[in-house]
Amino acid sequence: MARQARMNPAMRWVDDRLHISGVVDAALSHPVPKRVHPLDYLGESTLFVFINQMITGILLAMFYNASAQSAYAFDPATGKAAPTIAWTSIQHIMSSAVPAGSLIRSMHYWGNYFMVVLVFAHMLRGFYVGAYKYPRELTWLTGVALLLVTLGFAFTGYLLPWDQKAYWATQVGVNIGASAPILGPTIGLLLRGGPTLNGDTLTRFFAIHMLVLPALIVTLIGVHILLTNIQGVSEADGLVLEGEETVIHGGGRK
Amino acid sequence: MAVSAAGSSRAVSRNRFMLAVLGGVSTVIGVFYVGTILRYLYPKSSSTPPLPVSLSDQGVTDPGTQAVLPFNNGVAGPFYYPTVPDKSVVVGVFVEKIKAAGPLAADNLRVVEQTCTHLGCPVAWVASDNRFECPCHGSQFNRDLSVSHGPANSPLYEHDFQLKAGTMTILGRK
Ligand code: HEM
Ligand code: FES
Repeated sequence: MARQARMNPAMRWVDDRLHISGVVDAALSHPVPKRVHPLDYLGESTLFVFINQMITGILLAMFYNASAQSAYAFDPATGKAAPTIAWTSIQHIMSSAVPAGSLIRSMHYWGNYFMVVLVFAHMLRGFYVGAYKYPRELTWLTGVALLLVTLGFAFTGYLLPWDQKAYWATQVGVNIGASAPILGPTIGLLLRGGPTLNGDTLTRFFAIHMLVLPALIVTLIGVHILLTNIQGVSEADGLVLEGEETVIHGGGRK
Repeated sequence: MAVSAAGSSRAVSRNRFMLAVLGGVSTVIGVFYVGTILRYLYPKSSSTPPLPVSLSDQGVTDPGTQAVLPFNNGVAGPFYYPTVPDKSVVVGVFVEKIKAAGPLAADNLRVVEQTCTHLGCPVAWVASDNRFECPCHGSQFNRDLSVSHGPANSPLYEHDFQLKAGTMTILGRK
């Protein structure tokens, strides 16, 4: 095979058995038009920040402890609220007891804002260039799902430090959902796991943040990227590639 | 596909029969899972249960003596009572004397939940302004609990309570 002749022996060994070099080539070395705008890379930028969130998030999970139990008993004499295990574990990450802990946590914290802003910018760009039009409707829809999942990450992650700001911001956020007509109160109870925001809410949000949403987002990103790979950059619709006679990826933009 | 005898074209094919059975069984299993998941996630209690709060924990030794809570214009600073033991579920309440100079007796007391009726932040009693104010979106409530400034659009909640031998039992929203 001509393609195999160009490969290094390790790749050839794999390809001999799995015949995947065609797929890999299609994904990684397809031609892209010269005239691509820098803003067409907002999606890739979001992906980069997501990978950062994944790495730093997994690292945070090694020290973070999602428990609303108090680290020691409430002392009525001082009247000071007893710190909870969740809050204390974050203080621990931020202290010098964990080398680079504050860096990792800050990368996750700021990465969250970067990710939300980039997802929005990426969507606005897609809207501006009309990338949601035929034949890319499904790409747009998976993109909308990704936006919602990203906001879900931001919402559930925000509660995890279990400090005053986290607690009351989530109180307000859950109550916005709970004030929806008919289903609202049920949504509130399911999210909180009780009549008020409590320790069960923390573990619930932790499970959503760490298990449900990562599985969802990885699947959605996979489909989203697969679709863009099949259809190419919408900017290039109708462009003729140098050295090629055909118009690539059929003119979708109207 | 050649369908020969008349009538047999109407018969359900083996394939479609198996699909229908499979679909039916999966639906039953699916409904079972969804039902169980919702049952699991739906909390057992959906309202705050009444829990006794010892007023001595709040600095009240004998309700008769009045030498007590730091009443400010008749409103004591909020204290928190657990609504579900060990779950750190707390609801803040103000214990108020209806007549500021009056005795600390059940008929001169009022228990006001701290929860803002907008989206649930804790309001503070601001004695200098003679009103409750919410830090989140700026709602303000008069001393009689009515709204004096939005975005909240309903009065603060009052709680029923019992006072017996220095122990106040908060019975939940009126
Ligand atoms: C993909 C987008 C993600 C977003 C937008 C996001 C967002 C957030 C936010 C806003 C916080 C609170 C940060 C803070 O106040 O310190 C947080 C905390 C946390 N996240 Fe994420 N996260 C993402 C992915 C992940 C992933 C993939 C994991 C792990 C598998 C993870 C694990 C954690 C943990 C353990 C915390 C608690 C530590 C802390 O609050 O500093 N996150 N996340
Ligand atoms: S929660 Fe009090 S003003 Fe919004």
